[in-house]
Amino acid sequence: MPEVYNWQLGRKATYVYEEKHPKEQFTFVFNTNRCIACQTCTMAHKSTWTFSKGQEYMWWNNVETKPYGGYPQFWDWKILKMLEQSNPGQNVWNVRKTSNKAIHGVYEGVTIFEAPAKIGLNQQAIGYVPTDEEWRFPNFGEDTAHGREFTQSREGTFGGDNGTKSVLPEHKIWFFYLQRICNHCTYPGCLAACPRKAIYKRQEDGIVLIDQSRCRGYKKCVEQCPYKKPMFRGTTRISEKCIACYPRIEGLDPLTEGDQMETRCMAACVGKIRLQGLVKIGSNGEWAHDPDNPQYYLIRDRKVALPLYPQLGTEPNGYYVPSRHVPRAYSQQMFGPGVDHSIDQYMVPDRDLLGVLQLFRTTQRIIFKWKREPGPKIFETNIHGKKFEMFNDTIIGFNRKGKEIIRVTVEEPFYVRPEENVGAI
Amino acid sequence: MQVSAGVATAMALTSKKVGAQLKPVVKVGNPLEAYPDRRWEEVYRDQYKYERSFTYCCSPNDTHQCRVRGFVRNGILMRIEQNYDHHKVRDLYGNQADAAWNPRMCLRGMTFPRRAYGPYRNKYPMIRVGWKQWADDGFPYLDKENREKYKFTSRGTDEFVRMTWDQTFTYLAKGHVAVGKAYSGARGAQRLKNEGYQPEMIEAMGGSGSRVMKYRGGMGLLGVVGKYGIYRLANMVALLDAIIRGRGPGKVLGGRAWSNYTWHGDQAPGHSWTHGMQTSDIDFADHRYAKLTIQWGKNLIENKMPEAHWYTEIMERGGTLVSIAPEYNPPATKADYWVPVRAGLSDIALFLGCAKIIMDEGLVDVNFVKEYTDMPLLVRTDTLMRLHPDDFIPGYRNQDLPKDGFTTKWMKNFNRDKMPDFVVWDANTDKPVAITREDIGSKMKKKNIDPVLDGVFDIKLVSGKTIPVMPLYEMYKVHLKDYDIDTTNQICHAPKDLIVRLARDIGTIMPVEIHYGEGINHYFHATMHNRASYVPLMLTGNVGPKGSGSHTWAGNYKAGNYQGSHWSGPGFAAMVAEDPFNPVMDIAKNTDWANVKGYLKGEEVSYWAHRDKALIVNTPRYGRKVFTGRSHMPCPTKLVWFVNVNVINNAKWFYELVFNTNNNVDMIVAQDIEFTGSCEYSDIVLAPNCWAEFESYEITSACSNPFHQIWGGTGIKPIFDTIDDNLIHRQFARRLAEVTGDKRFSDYMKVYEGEAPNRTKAMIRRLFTTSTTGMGYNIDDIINGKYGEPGCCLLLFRTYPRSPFWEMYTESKPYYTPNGRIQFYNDEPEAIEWGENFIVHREGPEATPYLPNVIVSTNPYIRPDDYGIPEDEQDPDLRHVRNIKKPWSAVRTTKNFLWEKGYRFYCVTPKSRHTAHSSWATTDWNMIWNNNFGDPYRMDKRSPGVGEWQVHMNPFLCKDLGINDGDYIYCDANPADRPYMGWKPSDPRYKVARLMLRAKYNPAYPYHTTMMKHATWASTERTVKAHEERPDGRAMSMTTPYQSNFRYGGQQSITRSWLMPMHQTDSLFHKAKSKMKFKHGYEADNHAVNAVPKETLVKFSKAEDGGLHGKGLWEPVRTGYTPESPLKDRFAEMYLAGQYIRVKI
Repeated sequence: MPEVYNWQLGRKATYVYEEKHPKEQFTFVFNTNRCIACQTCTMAHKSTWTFSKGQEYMWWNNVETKPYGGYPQFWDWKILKMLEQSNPGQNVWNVRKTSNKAIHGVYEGVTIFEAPAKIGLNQQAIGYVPTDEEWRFPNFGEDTAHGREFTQSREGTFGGDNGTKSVLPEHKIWFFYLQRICNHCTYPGCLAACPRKAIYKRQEDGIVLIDQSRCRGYKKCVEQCPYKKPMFRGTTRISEKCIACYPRIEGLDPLTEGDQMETRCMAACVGKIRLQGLVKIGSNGEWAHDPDNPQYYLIRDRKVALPLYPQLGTEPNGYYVPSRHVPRAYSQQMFGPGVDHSIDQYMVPDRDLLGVLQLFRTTQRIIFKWKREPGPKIFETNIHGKKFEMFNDTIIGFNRKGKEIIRVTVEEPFYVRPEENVGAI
Repeated sequence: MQVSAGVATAMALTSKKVGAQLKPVVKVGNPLEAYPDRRWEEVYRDQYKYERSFTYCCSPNDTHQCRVRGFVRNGILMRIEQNYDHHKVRDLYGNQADAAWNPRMCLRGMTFPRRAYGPYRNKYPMIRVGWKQWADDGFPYLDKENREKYKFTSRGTDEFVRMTWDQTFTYLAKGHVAVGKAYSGARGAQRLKNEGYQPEMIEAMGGSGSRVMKYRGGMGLLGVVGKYGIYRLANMVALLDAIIRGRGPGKVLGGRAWSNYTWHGDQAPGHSWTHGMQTSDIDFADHRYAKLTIQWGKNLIENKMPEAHWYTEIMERGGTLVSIAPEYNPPATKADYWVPVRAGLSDIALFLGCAKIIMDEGLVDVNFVKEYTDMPLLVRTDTLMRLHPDDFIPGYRNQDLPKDGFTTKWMKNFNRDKMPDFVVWDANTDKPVAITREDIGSKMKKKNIDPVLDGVFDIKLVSGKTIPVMPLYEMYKVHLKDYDIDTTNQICHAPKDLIVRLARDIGTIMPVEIHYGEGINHYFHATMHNRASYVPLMLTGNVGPKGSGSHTWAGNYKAGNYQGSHWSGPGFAAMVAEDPFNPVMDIAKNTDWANVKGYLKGEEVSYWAHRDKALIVNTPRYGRKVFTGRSHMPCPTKLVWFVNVNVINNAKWFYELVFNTNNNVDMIVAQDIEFTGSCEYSDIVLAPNCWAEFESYEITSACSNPFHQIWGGTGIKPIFDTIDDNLIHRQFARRLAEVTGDKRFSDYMKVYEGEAPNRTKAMIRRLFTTSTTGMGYNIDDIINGKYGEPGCCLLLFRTYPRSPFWEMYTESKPYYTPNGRIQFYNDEPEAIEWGENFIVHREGPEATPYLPNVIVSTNPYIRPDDYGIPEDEQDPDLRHVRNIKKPWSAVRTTKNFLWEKGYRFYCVTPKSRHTAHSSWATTDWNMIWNNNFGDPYRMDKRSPGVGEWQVHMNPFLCKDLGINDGDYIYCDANPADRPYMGWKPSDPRYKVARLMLRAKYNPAYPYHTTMMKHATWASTERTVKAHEERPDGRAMSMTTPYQSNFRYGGQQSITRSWLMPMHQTDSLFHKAKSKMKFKHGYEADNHAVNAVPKETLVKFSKAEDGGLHGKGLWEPVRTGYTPESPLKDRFAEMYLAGQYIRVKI
């Protein structure tokens, strides 16, 4: 098996194909702290791509409540259990080995591609095919909390003298929302698994597609994508998956007059948690240094946005700002060892970070570059054990050609109109 | 229809696949690097294509009213996307909104085409068979026999027939004439008396048959012309009274205008008691300035989705977020800390406990309290009334208010005697000093008055008697002794350290905002809770500055967005209250106040749902006592016409209403785009166009953002035989003119002459440009896009973002209270009699473990009348009005008789993120997502549809009751009156009405608090029959396009009507909701009965196993991966604890 470099793991890992990279990579950042689980993204997806007969169980985009929710049910409970069983007690992150090449440390456990060898399994990656029952109930577990010790109280409430403490830095009763689409991985499980080589990664943008004319519906992609994002359609007997709305990424929607446009699920996000873009990949296969690109800035420069289950080894290209209130061990299991750093940065953001956070969902167009124009200081406080200062900076977003497409200030303007326009409303 | 586009795609994919099979296998190398033949990618590019797009307003019953863009292919509305236009929207003065508002529109807007084209759509007008027969028989008087004959007593088993629009208008017109005639004059009154209506209600009719006609538009802003415009009909039927009784202008009465906001239980009824405004709320952009935000029983995350980001973003801006709720809810996940409390408004005590800490620890903003609140006003200890100068100064005359003062200049036409002067004890002179309602803020300081807050003073009255008086602040020191930290903790269960932390945060962080909504307002004592929410904020100067305040959100009620004034014109009144005897016939002209004559009168819907009765009680001490104020008094209900509202289905005590009360209603007209639960029990169903189909202009705006929207005329062609709402009303009026031979009806609708889209433009111009928010705009400029997206502009509120008390704080203007100050105290006689003069903790009349309705206090200045009603009285109407005051030490040993009988569970019924109240509740994709049982294939054939309703419950509660996760269970409330009066197990209707639903284990809920999302589509006779007889088991009626969310029963199986006395006074002084005027007593949606569906206790029992085919455990539970699953293994524990990964540091 070839070895490929996985920057998220800080090491080389086995993969079925030689390491090759697109010119640009489709990436996205989801700020879970802002998510309201409204599923507008889900319906944006559904109403665009999978509204036909045979696609009733098919939701390329979904938002699930963690820890109990999941679509398909318990997908991550199951794959993590399989990974554990293949390498009991040994799936460890070593952060002592953190370096420029291993910005979150080195993962010393096994990936889904390495696990088969450990357990003598003859396939590209460990995995399973969910049952029909598991594809039901896409919003299973919505708003279902975890937190046992308090729940047992029969006294009537969680309060009382020695009441529950869901208080930062960690809530003891907790849940949070996890937003999911295909991660358009650098080393996709689905692509590795396809016996017909009907799955490929586009050179221009890294989008991973199932060729609808070649697929024969063997369901190997369904089995070996650890995120369970390829889905089998009974009526056509082939599999389908998220296509990253490539007609929009290609700038084909007349609405933006040729400007490249974020996907439907991104543009739909009223929680303003989503920002999607394209990062440049250098000739060495690494992300080209580009801190003016908001994606690069959040993911690589500030390390605020972290990959989902990096230990699975696919190098997913969706990145998450972890929720500040979730027990850290659970978050680290999900997003790796960068969780503490990310939350520290996010909870007391500096001027640049607060600035980039303003750009989320101001426009449907893909922002390739951002710039901050300084404004006056408008607030300061001490919070979360640190000094916080806020400035009314102006943040500008630019398209691929460097043309300004949006600008927004940190503080909301305040206007006063004549007395005739009375305020008593 | 939408499916057909998808099918085409599916076929395209299939044919390509067939073609591919014939080709030789293509060699693929490394698919990470290259792929040989990508022509197939055209498939998705084709699927994405559209022919044109247009914008419209997504205008359901929500507080957002988002401008959205629809994409059309082959004439079909394929999909929707947010319009991303906010940063382009401006106002007359050049002010501009910004991109931070982008995008707005939630999942419901996304799935709207599923409703527009869906199976539940009203496709044409229909009439109930029995009702049609009654009409065809010449509308004979509906005695008991005829009510049965024409199935008025069994509407749920009758059928509907399709009609043409032409036929329908004739039936509508003739029905109005028949009902008007039947109940007019002495004969009508006698009939109503014989039918058993209360004499006060008959008297309130003034002999007019039009008064039994009740009209109900959707919430004020959900399509102003088409929906709210129906109130114009209520004014118009004064002409019918004129014809029937042969009277002229000024001597007739119009119909009754049913409320919206209050009937939904959405209003915060305490607001008008505190500051005199209908509601305090803000444009959501105002969150930007807040630094402490407290969600108090509020879920902005789930309920305000298009604008919730303003709230979540506070955490990135040095702000502190707090959530206070019985359960760990979505806003708690965003919070710095969550304060758990006992359900049922126990947290009134928490506000008072915090206030005590703020006062004890010296965190009070003394200047604010003196300058803007009623705390320095002196209160008499004998009568508990505020001291007035004429109490002790012989011959005192109220001071002249300054000519350029707010009251004189902007309110005009007020009665000075009803706003007498007040008294403070001035520290500078050590004397009592009279002050006016204008002596606020800097204006009081300019008069060199420095009122004291502490002390007791003797005043010699004009009568010669000397009495002690106290500044209210001094009285509050006495009052708050009942809310020390131990007592507060015992009452509300909030952990003590968090009570202290909260109080100190409120006392030290600035600005502070508190939000609530249905979570609070749906309880009987919401009035007190709302008033209490102001207490810590008033003490700390947090009412008025940007980012501060106590605000409520529920329902898009704000008629005030088109507020009239003496300088701008009548605004809203131009539409709903134009004089039908003297309308402005030249549509180019605007309407003036002289053309306004309101023959209609508002009425609270709650009385109808209270078995069509007012609150009149036989008290032991005084005998028959009327608690419904004269200004509130309803009339008997004989004709109901509602637009865009599921008013019957969503009625508290629904089954009592449809099985008993409505038997006495002669004509029910439902105008809605879908066949709702209300249509199931109506007589005439009218099928209007939907938002994307509007042919003429419609307008809307919201109470959470500053955007004014006009749209229409550019969307898709009507899919079915439907017409604009407004056209329905116009054509009805024209037919009424033909039927009666009186052209005044059609003249009244002349303003709507002409063709679409301009048919409604004159009305839009009249009401918008004569309002304080629209004066100066030219309608054509707005429609042509001068201010941004065509149809869009900013409303002209005083500030952007809108902030209702910014003027008071910044410009020292009086609040809309008698004394001009924001109030900790109410001395209306009713408030004193009922023990609610102070802001005090009170248990609910039903949802409490303790003595129902008890007042928790030892304050000697609270002296309620209990009317001699004993503590063990169980009658609900008597429990409404029983005012017993006890100290907490005594209250804690009392018991609610229902609790004793096992009804020990609160059932909170919040709004779901997947629906807009009952809208979308059965839309397929939403129904799949709004619960834990969504399955488009309905693997479990018991499921009523592609999803079903559930109640979230504490797992250990369920275990104690023998209920497994996912089981079907029964949920029952007080059997004395629910699900309906007179039920028997043998009654087939009981099976329809008894609530059965799925249990869902959720550790977020404490033991006694359960949660069922609200506004479901109730089971009806037809859906239960379908569920039991259809081969597929769906609870979808076989003869009407109606789908239930349940197999049996509905949300309202467990609710009943409550008529809260404090909502029904004639004395409350406040500002009118959509005029710059003062009012006393009743105003629809402002001071009126607020419905309180959460005021209930329930119990649960197992009905069926949750597993497929009713056998064993529900499948997900069998994995061991669900909360408290009996099968949990060590891997589940590892996952939950995050132990699959170890980090080596």
